[in-house]
Amino acid sequence: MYKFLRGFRIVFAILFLIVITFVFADIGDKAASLFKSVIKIQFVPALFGALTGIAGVFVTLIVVTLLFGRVYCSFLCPVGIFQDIVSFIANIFKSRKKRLYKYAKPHRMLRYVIMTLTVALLLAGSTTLLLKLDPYSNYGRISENVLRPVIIGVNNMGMSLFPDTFYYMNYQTFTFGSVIFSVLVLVILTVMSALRGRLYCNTVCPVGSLLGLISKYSVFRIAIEKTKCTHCRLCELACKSQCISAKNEQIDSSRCVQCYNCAVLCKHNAIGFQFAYEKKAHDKQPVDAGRRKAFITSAGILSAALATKIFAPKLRAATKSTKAIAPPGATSIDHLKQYCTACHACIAKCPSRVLRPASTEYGLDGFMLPLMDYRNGYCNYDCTECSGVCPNHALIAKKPEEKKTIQIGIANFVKENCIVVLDGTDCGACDEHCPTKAVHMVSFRDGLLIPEVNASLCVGCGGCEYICPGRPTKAIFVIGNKVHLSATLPEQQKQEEKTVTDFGF
Amino acid sequence: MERRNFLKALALGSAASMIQWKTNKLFAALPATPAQLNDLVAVMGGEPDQLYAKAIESMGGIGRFVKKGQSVVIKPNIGWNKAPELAADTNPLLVSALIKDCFSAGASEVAVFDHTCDEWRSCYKTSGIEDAVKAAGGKMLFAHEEKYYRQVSLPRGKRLKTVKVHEAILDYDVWLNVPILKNHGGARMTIAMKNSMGVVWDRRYWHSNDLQQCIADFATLNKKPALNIVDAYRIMTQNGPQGKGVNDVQLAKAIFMSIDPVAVDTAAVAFFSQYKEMTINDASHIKLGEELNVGTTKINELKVERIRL
Repeated sequence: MYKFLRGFRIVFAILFLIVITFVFADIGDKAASLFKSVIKIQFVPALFGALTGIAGVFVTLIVVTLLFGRVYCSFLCPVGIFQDIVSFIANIFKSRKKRLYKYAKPHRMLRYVIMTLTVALLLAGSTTLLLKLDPYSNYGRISENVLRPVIIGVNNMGMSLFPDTFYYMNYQTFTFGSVIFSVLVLVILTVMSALRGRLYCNTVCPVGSLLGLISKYSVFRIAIEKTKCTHCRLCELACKSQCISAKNEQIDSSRCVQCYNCAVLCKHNAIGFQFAYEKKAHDKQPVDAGRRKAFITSAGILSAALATKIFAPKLRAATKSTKAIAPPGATSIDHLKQYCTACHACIAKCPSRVLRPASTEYGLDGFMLPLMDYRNGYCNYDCTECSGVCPNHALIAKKPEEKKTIQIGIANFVKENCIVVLDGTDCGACDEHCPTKAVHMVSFRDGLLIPEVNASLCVGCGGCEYICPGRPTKAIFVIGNKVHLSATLPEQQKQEEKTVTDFGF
Repeated sequence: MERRNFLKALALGSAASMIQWKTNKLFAALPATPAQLNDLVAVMGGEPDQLYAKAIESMGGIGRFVKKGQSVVIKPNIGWNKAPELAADTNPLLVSALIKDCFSAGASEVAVFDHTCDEWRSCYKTSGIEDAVKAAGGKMLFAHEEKYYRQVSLPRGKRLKTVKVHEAILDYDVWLNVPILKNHGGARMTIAMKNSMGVVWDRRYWHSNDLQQCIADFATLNKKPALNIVDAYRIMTQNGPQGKGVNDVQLAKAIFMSIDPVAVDTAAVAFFSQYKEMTINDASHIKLGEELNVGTTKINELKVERIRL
């Protein structure tokens, strides 16, 4: 049975990882749209789903964990699966002796302090720590910031061979900080998993810690049957979580990631799922000091966070406008900071490539959050891809008709920098690109027309800013709304239907 | 009697040229002298494919422009992510009819592209042009990266001296320019001459260096469209070139054709002015084109045929 279970896990996990990678890599639009909902069954997105009203996935994940432990970590977590693959490959190159794992003591203090800090910051309204540690978001970023450039390179090589099929791609979403961070995480994950299996998951990962905490109370747990165990240590030596102590016949359920490698190896069927609530309370472990210390520290951090939340509200939002422009659906920069974990699914999906990871535009706590950048493109008036793909409800999905009234910023026209004033020639590039005619042409002098902005119609799409030929300074640019507002839908200018029977010349 | 004979001969001649268009293999050797052929054709009162068929017939058939074995590149206006009803992009039915006709003339290959303003994939799709092209056996070309453009010089240009032009325009045998008739906030009108702006890479340069002059300058490019076909089935009379909605559109059911981009633009502006006030002095690139000898605004001196279906 465990052989089958383990085989199923491996096949399922690999397929799942491929599908998730497809969503981010933007290899083909069709694949990405077909599978885009798989990222909603990740833990952190599901958690945010529960906070915003769609609790189904979250409840399911919790129930599964309460029943069988950290199934998520081996079956669904892309970083978990990735690390398993790394360990597998690393083992090929290791000597037989080095391949073996040994029981290691838990790093309780580290684990739970990281977890509590993460939760505390979340409660205070910031994802800044979670987004740097969350495995799903990290995997998304690695795909978007490391893998996609590689794919683009391969594509562009393919283009020279098959110019009719492959089209040239540009990596214009490049942001130094985000790429460096993603590469760093990739290296850390690779090294940690190559050397110590699931060490990241059991010391750093806040999702692993939380699910581990729940797993301590799960109904069925992997455990050792003392009567059958011969202390051969096969299970312990194969445990990538290093949570099996064959000597003590103990398994640390909070660290077990449900890989079933141990159960497959055991020659005596001594290890496997056991119903944990049978009436035999004699196994009670002695309370150890480390656990108690971690608990007290955690409680302290949490109360501090709550106190901050209650007693120091609204330090932000002193001004209404900002240089940093948040994508439509974010509703406000604060909302984005509260819900976005920077998985970069929106950046991967944006067809106009107007989204890129932020550096410090939103402030330090907004590092790597999606940011509108009008240097290389502008937001398509009819497009809702970013909010459609967002699994976190950080970008709230809108119908195209609703999106057309979201005002993420307002175009600001500086007449002195305009070509029409400077050169006395026609231009109108901004008016041409404005989808709502918030920017429109009015009479200037000598028969020339000059742009004018009707702020209430402007959605802040950046079409005008993108195309403005003004050098060195653009004559028109968008200033973001910290809290997104509503734009008026442009009024249709009725005109009589005219029937013309003459050619006119 | 002489006049009657002359008319008979003319009728026979045009009948023959029609047959020539259909079976151009048989009559391919018959050279049509320019004097007999129309310089400018205007047709109104039909569906896009009917308008096209009548107009091209009156121009002397597609065989006049596309010879057997030649490769053809068609440049419609696909600038915006808008459905055909919104008249921001060239009518897909017209593009489709044109492609089929090119193949009937023996074209070896028919390709279509535009350097779009909105995101290119959505423009190709929403305009209906990509589907129409594929159904007609043509292919869409990529034009969204600088890589697809080559630098050429314009010795006769006043402000635009060098420009990066899409490689297909330079490499394909025949270039057919197929704009849609629209009002334009910058250039005032966008017709044949302005549509050519979509085959270059850096449009910002034009905007910042006297847009109207640059449009005229580009018309001096050595390679010229073999034919300009102005789609005026639906025309955008206000809020162009993108438009806010169907209210900016008038159903005009017309088409204009000429080898001369200045002449066809002049005719189209005159037609347009019946809907909205407009002169070729406003869309000044047209007259600037005439000054550069790329065509004439004096359409009365040309052989013009006006047809009502």
